[in-house]
Amino acid sequence: MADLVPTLLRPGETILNKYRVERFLGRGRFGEVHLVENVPMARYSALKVVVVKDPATQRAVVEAQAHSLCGHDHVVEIRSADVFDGSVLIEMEFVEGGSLGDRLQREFVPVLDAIAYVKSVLYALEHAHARGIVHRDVKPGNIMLAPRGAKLSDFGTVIHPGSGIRVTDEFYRPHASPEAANDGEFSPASDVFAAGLTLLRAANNMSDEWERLLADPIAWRRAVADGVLPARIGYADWVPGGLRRVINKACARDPADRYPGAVAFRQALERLRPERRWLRLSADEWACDRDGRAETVRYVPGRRPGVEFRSGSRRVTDRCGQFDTEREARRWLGRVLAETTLAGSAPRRQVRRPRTPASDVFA
Amino acid sequence: MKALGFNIKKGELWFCVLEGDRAAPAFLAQDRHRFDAEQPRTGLAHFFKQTFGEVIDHTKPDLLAYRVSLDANGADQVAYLCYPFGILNLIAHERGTPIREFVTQSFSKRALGFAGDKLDACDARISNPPPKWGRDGKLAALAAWMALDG
Repeated sequence: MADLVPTLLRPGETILNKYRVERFLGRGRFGEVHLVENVPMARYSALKVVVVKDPATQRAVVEAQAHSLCGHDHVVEIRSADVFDGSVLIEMEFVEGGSLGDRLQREFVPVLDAIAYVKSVLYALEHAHARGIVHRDVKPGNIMLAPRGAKLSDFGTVIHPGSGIRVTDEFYRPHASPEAANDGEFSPASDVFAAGLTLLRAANNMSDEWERLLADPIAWRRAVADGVLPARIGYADWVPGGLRRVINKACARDPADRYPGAVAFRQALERLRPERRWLRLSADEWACDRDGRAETVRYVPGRRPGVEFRSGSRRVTDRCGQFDTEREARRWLGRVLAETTLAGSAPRRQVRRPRTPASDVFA
Repeated sequence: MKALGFNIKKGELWFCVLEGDRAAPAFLAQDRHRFDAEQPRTGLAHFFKQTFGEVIDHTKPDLLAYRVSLDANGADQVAYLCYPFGILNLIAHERGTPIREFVTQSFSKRALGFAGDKLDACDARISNPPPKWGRDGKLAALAAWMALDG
């Protein structure tokens, strides 16, 4: 219902004699974002309006961040910052593809896409960490999907632990590591935790489930404080074992057990070799294109439910099966997806043979 | 003077940082980044652009060096053995950092001032070497070493 709340800027309005407001894009905890045309520069931008007590200080920090961080391929460019009517106006690069959070709400995001997005963001985090900056707000809503890869956005909550500089005490608590949530200890390791949780949500394709989880603040706050939120979320059946191990390490409760930084986390993701970009067509059917050949795996209902895997027109019999219950069949479907998404990410297990020869089942 | 040397083999980007001069090189750091050599060219180019930038940001060298392999047998090998150094040269150009190119034959006994094998020269002539040091790390070190005379 956010669009029913009056916005700070109206379409058609001209601000500071340079921004013509086109349309409202969205609202966050710290303000709202509009698509504007920077008329003198003849370019479209996203204009973030942040209402703060001390806009001049905020503006100075934003400009400093812009100088320090921008120019990186995976950081959303900050073009300028102005003070206007008690607010800070931050002109940013407009990324047409929206955020990963938007995409998760809109459609199924293949696991391989989720890995690629988080790898891009880890480059950006490493860039920030190398400059002593901790982001503190890594989440799907702050990962913008540009045509040439994901970009990390919204550095409004950053801190610089070396100097103690911070603009706000706010941070994204649901993604906070236990040491950050309990003791206010923010470091590159806490960003690694948040990036791991972001990857978990994206690989699981959590959208409505995440909202439902946040609807019980006492439960999730306790889980965050105990560092058990990732374990409580768990994994969707289709998430590969190799990826689960990487996320588990990124989201380890003890910072000493986590990847020491964004580079190590990204390198672990780099070692996962993508093989099939499975797309969920429906709850029963998945498809991918592998080296130009269409592959499908689907749940086949019936008195004895089954799973059928096809590569082109060929049935891959050792991936097919027939089961006594729907639950068993769906578990097998998830296992097939998980084991075929990555190449060599896990030792190949002995394939479970169907109880009835598959040729009899799908004849 | 601090030199950062790179060496690439299939699936691994090695780098080594040395300081000092050609006559007295000192080891500072080495590491490797793994990559998927079979990914599309665009993905490879992106990996190398980001990773070179990241390593340079971290190590802050005065100059860059690399060993280019002449062993590529086909376009796929050229893509990961040779193309990346085009990207490295562009980064060096953008940052205004001097860069030197070497091939294995550049690491001659005369150039190293060492009568034995070039890999043994790394242990014998570079001070504070790491306890475990393989061939690929040493080839990156040799590139950095040869660049140290400016």
